[in-house]
Amino acid sequence: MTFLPHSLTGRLLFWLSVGAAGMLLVLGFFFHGELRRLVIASVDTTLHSKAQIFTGLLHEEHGEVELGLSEIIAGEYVIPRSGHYYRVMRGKTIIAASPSLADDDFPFVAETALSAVGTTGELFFTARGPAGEPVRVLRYHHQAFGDLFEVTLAESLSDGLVMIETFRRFLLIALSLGVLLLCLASWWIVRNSLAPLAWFTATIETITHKNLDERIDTGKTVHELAGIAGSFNNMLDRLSHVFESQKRLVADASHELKTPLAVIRTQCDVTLQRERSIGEYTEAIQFIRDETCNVARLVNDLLSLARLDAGLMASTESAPVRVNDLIAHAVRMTARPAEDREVRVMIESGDSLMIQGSRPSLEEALLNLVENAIRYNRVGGAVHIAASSEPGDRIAIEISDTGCGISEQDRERIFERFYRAAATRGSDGSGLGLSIVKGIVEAHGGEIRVASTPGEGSRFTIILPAAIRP
Amino acid sequence: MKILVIEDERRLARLLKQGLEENGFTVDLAHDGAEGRFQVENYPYDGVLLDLTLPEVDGLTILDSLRKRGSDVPVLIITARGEVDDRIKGLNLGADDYLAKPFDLNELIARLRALIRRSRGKPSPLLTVGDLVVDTNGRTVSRAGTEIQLSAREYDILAYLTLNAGRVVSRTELIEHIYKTDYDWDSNVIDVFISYLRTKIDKGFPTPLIHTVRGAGYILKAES
Repeated sequence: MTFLPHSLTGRLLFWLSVGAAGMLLVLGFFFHGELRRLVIASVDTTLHSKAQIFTGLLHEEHGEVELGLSEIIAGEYVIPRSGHYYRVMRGKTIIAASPSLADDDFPFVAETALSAVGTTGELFFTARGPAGEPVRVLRYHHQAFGDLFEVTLAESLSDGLVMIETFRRFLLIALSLGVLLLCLASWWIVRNSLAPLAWFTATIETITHKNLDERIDTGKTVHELAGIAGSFNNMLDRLSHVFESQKRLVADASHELKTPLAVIRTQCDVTLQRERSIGEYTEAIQFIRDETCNVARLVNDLLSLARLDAGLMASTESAPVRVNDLIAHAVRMTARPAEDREVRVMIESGDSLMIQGSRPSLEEALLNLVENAIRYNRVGGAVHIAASSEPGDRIAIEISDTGCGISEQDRERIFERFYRAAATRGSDGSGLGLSIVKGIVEAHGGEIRVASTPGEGSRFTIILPAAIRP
Repeated sequence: MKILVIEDERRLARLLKQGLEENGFTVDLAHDGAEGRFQVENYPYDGVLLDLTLPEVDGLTILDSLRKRGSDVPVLIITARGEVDDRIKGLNLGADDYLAKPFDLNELIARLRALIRRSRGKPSPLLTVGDLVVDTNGRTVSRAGTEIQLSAREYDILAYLTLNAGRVVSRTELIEHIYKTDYDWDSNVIDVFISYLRTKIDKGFPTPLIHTVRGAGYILKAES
């Protein structure tokens, strides 16, 4: 319905007006028709009574049949074109006709098809009178005195038609006024009915990022809007949850970034506050260098997380990746720390296993897990990496270590950003590694699980979709 | 002046200790909230550097319980949480000052000195008793306009006595405010330093400033 206005008020008003006008028109037509029917019916009744009288007034005198019209009855037929007419015929001869006909005879022919034939042989129809006025005609045949008489009576419809015309004008004015009034009333009603919508809009507009915890009072709005208000509140809940976690992340990130910066700054200030030996300067610079590496790693981790959050793990990068390549990469990158801590790394993997995904991300995820398994292992411990295919076209990679394990309460939180299990505090990890791994795995439509026996070790399992075989 | 540094980031704590010690402070370290709270509640300190995000007990909780116990030790909050809300909360809970990480070490030391002086009712960095002047910024001492060379320990003891001029200070109090908490002390060491100080400060002047109060300790005052 493109011709309809875009506003709800406009639409409601349009349909209400069309409906009201239509209804009033139908009613008007009905009353108009009914009135006309009533007028004609009353004229017909008059004609019928008069016919009775006329029949009674026919009498035979001297072998001639005459119409003995009394003065009272004759009165209205005397004035020419008074609107009251009669004619009595015997065969082809007029034996009596009203003076009101003057000189004109007229055929009293029906204008339209004959409408009704009474059971008594009476025939009513509408025709034109001598003055061209509409008349109602009654024609009937009367058997008397051994002959057949045709009596025709006519009554002008002018009075009735004037009344109908007046009524029609009245109806026209009343209809227009009615439609106008209805329009105004409906405009008022529509406006008032839509007032809660305006309130709703105004309330929504007051909600910004600064007062995201404000809600629309569903009890205050009308029943029909309560649903929308509820959904809107739910949306606000979700938004404010995301907003809060983003705010917390920014606060955490700034805390985590400022701390190593404070260390570097203080190292500089302390070193510079007096003359020092070459050895002390060298030590200070090395310290600053190490700390800078930590900051760089943290910044990289934060950027990885930001990319994951923004959904920038482009699916265009998605390609089949050999699981063995991923494992080999992780083992190669961790060879130094593994050697330092005397940790043995064992691999158990089928050659043909392929994962569908982004190679750099998957490498990062696996490297993180293997790094953790080595860093938090005991000296001389072991790391076991095993890959196998799972039902449902999925591939599981397990990384088990012989470290101190993860307590149950830590297990619930280790994937949270910046969370460090008690045992890892004070180490130089950023607290973001596992969040990143989880983010990468989930972005690939996979899942990550952790099992651990404190004191014996932990096992991380990532389950990822297998490569699509061409 | 003895300072307690409550900071869980060990590298920063170690650097603060070094930086403060090189500026004449005596420093104790606490690496978590529980340890920090125990130390600040059980040992006398001239000032506390307090980090807010701490394991076990967080900084604001330590501050709150410290003030509720009626302690008025100057507390300088150092934190990476730089939001105005956190500052207001910290100051409302009774912190004396606030520094956001990363901070300037010299600013930190200047603020810490000012806090300690003000807590003793002496806002000026120049402390005077009679004609003795102690410059707490330059760590220099002069009497009647003549500069006097002091060793670090001698200065520490004199500065503490000057800050508390007119009040009897016991040997134990001096040791507690000048030596680290784990120092295995012998109060005779104070008597030795006092006798050095007397030689350097009072000798050759008509009115002695350092007085011994028998059985109680020492007092620094201009008139006898």
